[in-house]
Amino acid sequence: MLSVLVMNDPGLTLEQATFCKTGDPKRPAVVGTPDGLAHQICDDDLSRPAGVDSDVFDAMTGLHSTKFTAGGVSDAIPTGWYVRVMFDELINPDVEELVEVIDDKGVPTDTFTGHINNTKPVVLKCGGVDVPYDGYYSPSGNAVTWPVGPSLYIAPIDPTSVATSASCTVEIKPDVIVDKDNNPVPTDELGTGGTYTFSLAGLQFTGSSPGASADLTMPDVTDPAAPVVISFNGAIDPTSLSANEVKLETVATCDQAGAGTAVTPVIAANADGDPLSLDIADAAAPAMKAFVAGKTYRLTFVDGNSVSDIAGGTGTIPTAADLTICFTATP
Amino acid sequence: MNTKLFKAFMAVGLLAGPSSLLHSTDASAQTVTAGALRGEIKDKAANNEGAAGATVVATSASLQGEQVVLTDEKGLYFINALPPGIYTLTIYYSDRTFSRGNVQIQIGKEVVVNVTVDSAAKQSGGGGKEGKGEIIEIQGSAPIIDQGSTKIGVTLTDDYTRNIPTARTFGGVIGQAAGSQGDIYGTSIAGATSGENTYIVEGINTSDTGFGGLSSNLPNEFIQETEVITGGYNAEYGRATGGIINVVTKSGSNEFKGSVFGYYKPGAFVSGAKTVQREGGSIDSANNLNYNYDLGAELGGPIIKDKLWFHVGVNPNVTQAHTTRIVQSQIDENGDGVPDKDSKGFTKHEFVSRSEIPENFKTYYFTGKINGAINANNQVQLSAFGNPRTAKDLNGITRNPADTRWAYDDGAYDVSLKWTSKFNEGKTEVDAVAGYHRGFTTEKPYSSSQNVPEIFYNYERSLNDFADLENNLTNATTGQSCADGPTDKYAKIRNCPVTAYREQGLGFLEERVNDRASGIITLTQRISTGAAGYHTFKGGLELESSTYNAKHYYTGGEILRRNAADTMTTQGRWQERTFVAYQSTLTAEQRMTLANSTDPNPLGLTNDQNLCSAGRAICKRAASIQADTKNRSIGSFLQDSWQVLPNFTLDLGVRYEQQVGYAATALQGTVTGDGETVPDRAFTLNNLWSPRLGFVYDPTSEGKAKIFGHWGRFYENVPMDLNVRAFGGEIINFNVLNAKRRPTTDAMYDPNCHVDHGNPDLVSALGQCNDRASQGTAGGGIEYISPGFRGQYTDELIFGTEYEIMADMKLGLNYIHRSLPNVIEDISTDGGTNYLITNPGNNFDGEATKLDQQSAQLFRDSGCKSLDDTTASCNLDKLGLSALTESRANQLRAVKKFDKPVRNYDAVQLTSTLRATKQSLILASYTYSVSKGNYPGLFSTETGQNDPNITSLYDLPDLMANRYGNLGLDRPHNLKVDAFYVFDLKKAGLLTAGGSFRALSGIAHNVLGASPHPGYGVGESYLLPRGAAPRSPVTTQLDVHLAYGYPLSKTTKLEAFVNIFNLFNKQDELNQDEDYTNDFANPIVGGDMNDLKHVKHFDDAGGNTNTTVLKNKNFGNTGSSNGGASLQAPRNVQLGFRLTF
Repeated sequence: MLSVLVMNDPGLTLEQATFCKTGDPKRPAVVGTPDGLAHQICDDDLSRPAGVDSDVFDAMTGLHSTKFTAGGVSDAIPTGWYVRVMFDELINPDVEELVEVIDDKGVPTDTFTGHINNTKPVVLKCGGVDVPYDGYYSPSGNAVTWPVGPSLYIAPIDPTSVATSASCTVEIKPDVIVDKDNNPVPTDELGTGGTYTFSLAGLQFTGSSPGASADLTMPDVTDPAAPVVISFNGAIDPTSLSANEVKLETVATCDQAGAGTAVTPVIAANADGDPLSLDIADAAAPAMKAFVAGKTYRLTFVDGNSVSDIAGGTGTIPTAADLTICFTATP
Repeated sequence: MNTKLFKAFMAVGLLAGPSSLLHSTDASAQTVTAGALRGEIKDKAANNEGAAGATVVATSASLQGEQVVLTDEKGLYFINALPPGIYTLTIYYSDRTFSRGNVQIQIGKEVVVNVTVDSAAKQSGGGGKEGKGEIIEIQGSAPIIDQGSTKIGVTLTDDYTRNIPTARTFGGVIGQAAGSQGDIYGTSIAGATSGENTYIVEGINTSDTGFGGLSSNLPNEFIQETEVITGGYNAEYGRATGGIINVVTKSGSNEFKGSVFGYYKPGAFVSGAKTVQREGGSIDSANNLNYNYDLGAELGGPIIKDKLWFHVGVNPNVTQAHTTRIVQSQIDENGDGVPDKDSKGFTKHEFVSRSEIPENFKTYYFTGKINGAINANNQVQLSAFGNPRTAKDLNGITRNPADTRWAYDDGAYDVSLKWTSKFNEGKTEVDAVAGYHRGFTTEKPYSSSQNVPEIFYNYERSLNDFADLENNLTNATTGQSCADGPTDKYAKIRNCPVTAYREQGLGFLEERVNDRASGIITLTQRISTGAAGYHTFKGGLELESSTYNAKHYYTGGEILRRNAADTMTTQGRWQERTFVAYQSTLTAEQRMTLANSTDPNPLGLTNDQNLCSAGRAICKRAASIQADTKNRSIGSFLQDSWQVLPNFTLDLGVRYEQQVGYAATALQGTVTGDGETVPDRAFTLNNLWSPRLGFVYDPTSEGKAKIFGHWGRFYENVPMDLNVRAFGGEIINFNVLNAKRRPTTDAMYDPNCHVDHGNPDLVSALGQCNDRASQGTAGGGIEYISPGFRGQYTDELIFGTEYEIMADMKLGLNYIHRSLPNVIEDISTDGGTNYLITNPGNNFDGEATKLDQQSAQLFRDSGCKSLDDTTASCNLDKLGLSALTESRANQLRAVKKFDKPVRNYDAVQLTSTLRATKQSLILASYTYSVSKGNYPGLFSTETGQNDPNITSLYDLPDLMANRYGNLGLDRPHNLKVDAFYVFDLKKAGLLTAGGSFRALSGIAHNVLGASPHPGYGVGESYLLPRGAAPRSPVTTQLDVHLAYGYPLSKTTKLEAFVNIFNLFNKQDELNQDEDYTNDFANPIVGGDMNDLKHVKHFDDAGGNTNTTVLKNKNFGNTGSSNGGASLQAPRNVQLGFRLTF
């Protein structure tokens, strides 16, 4: 076992190490990534555990240096997280079951997808609860390839079933993961207490449509049928945001604070089915519309409130100082 | 060693170093166009003491005039600079005249001929007869063993090429040397790739300046001798990490001699070639010869007897051939949706149609030579020769039938001028050679309609998709068709699958001219040091100036590749590949805009523009890249053949070389997108010191045996492809078109991006596609050379012995070890964004620290307060250079993380040689060798990529995985037997029977996938360790030669002959399709076949997936992934005649 990586890149491209085996020159360090850049997996100093290197530039001397901060992954992507366990040798491929891909005409394609949901090579827990998972075995790769390998890719079947900010553990099953000579992973490589740990990022606001108004004198123009969409990094529970936590007003101009007329907001699950988003509309809008045409709206959130994901994780919502949405529903 | 002489020669070399005008490249011009003779004259009447003061005169039809020397006080004599031929020694001693004939001199060899005379005998001496005033003839033959050096290899004479069934040119016969084998670009020697050989013709280096290897070539009838040196050579030879091929053409003589000859190989006498069936495809092919003939004549004679001779020759060679392109359909008789297989596991096919693709080649060989002798000690030679060719050749079969051919002209012209002077009774010799070599290649479309962008579908689809291009996809007789559909007989399968189909265009083409002007001067001095023996010092200075002027272009200016078909859920994307050139460096304002904008195209670049130089510059599409480059180099050497004892010689030598490579002329002094000024000199390889140590011991003291050893270092001559590709302004831009795969319902959907074959204006549409994303650029126009990088070299150790078991016959046993401790390659430490040319695996930390300091100084000089300072006082150019220098420091630190290069060749050779006489010859060898490592040489033996020192082999760390193993030229068993015998039928003439037998192990095969990095792709990912797949079988071949000659007069003979090549018509496998998949996949490090089925592929944007790769159905079958031949050529018969006079 050389390293354990967790997906924590919002672009779902890069993985970060939450465990690096110390003292082993075969562990990954710098690898070239698909974006044409180099990515540091484990520190070049073999004595260091998992952590993050950052470049420190001294403007006085013009010299660069590196600052290392130890620590595992604490910001796994709530909706796209997975775990990659990298081994220092090939493991018995029987850990993976292959299922042939059948095309839309019912003809076998001679390609297969891998599954580990039956062989269950690890125990994956978040918040102390078993998380159902699937994944595959990739025999490819080494310490300099992207992704690193050979590795087991372990992904929750429903990542949204795990609360944001949850602490998770991965435990290797020594009777399932064995090398080609049937040797299990050495016990001293099984992580602290026999598990590798990481946690999910907290629930966070990620954006809205229309977006935050940069110029309150220039409201966005929107379709009256289109609700305001508020998006988060986790599967949001629409019931966790109550109407009294949303301040929706009709205004003449958005820059006149407090001069608007309060209207009742309606908060609902996203109409397009995006679990990460919820919709906000004017309760007084005509049928099939979200807002009254011709009116200009200002939307902010009441400070100090929070929202929840569907698994119970909580997060804050932006304050009025951080987010003011101003728009005019087109006549 | 004479230190004064050593210093003198080395000083000349060093003075002409970096600051001199005398530096040059490829300094391989050699003066070894002659042989040497030495021995002892003993006087029987004086108890076999040395006959001091005897006059020794060497004469030969090959020699203008005669060479005269006196024996020293020990009776020893030495004659240098003898043209190859049969000599007679005439010895004048004590008022008597003795003659010893039948002494064969070969180029580069030193023959020991000891002669015992009897100054007292009246009637006989040495077995001969004497009368008053008569010549006493002494019988005997010269030993066959070269006592002068530790060289191993073979010398091929006219006797060999006339009587053994061989190829028609010297380039085709050098494979006779023990341990040699063919590779896809020529002849490999001692585990090295063919581009590592140096070819010397008439004393000048005729190797290709661009890629190394053979450039000039001549028919055997024009050749006097071809010496193939496979190892153990002294310091006079350099710039080669393979072998040395030393060729001397025929000269005139005092008599008019020549020949008229013709060869004819009719297609009707060629056995049918096996069709190489490609699994998973529907287009197969077979190559067939229509005819090959050549008719030539060569004539030599005196212009002024003993003073001025001439030799001329001309030999046009014409080949007409054709490739049969066969379209076949898969079948599915049982309707299970799986194509039916035959009992051998091959897919069954039904014939659909065929077409014939003609090819023709015309080569015009010529030679002309003048030899002049001012006197016996001053001789001059002027030689000119060439081999220009025109070709209409096959370009590929998996493409539009209208585009299967292309045209090219190539070949070479050479001129050589040589001067030899002797002084000091022959003990001092000066040789000077000046030469000019021009090689050229002009690739061009066969027709103007081909000068359009190549459109390439890099996935399996139906050939019927291209029915508008394919003329006949339905068999009129059987009705079998490539059309799929419900009325199709085999509705559940794709009848005619085709992968990598090219719709139009030819892709990459090149026009190049490769010149080399060379000069070499050598001084040979023989010195007697009394009890310490004799020294033969030889020192030389070599200068060369080489050019490689190239125009590179894509037909139609681009290559368009569709990577995948539309599926139910995703659309296929295109890749657009173009040459681009720097247009402008970003202004400070543009940099700010780029840094702060979220607009996908904040600079408003047009579709023919892209960012380059890591985002610091704008490049614009270029129709072609013109790179005119040159090299200068110098070589100097000093060697001493120290004859410590008459039977023990030490060969000591040292060689110094320097090579300076220049950037393309048009780029010198310009500023790159990185803000650097392009220097004139791209790189300098200094201090290439090559020591050579050897010994030769003759336990018989009669020249009939030798035990020898040799250790030497040999530096590579870096071919100029590196100048053109790394310092010629080449930047290739890759864009993904239809990048976002927007559905048709998307407001941003661009129909110009979502196109396929059938669109009448496909190229134009893609040109207007706005859904495009940069995949990056390959090459930066000018690559970075790591400071402190060193030359590429081979170390060699040889031990061997030879013994003359009977007159004219010897046996030999050699052990050879070669390693390749240091290579030059380009690498990238940042996933292919930046490259540097360096020595992979070496430690450059010290140089990196220097760059850190330079970077810091640049930053301080910039006046900037931070890395993102945008104030007016901040000099952004210096800030950019600071960042660039820092990034290079980081790259240098990573060089040591690359695998060290390994290429270890170990061989044991057993040889048997019966020297060619008028009656017979035997050349036989068996070599057992092991060649392992991770670096095959100057080209990739797997993909065929021929970019010396800048192949993809080391480009990325992840490409290195699994590369160690049995190399692509590892063939453990290599047996060669060539022989002929002449039956003298007296008045009825002469009957000659000759034969050539070869047995050769097959190569170990690989399991390859496509690298997920853009710009690499198919065959670049070693899914399993090198050589993990089984070897091809051992191949054998017997060729025979039968000739009948009839003497028309005493000097004129007419001979008719037949050569039958591959008598038993063995068409065994030579190569396999090694591409396990065309999908992108990473290597399984240390894996085996059981792991393969679990390999997952990447999507075409580099994302990993949970879907296994699609196995190439043809994997492991006879085929080729590197462009080499798949099968042995079928039996073919060549008829010929030769009139000699």
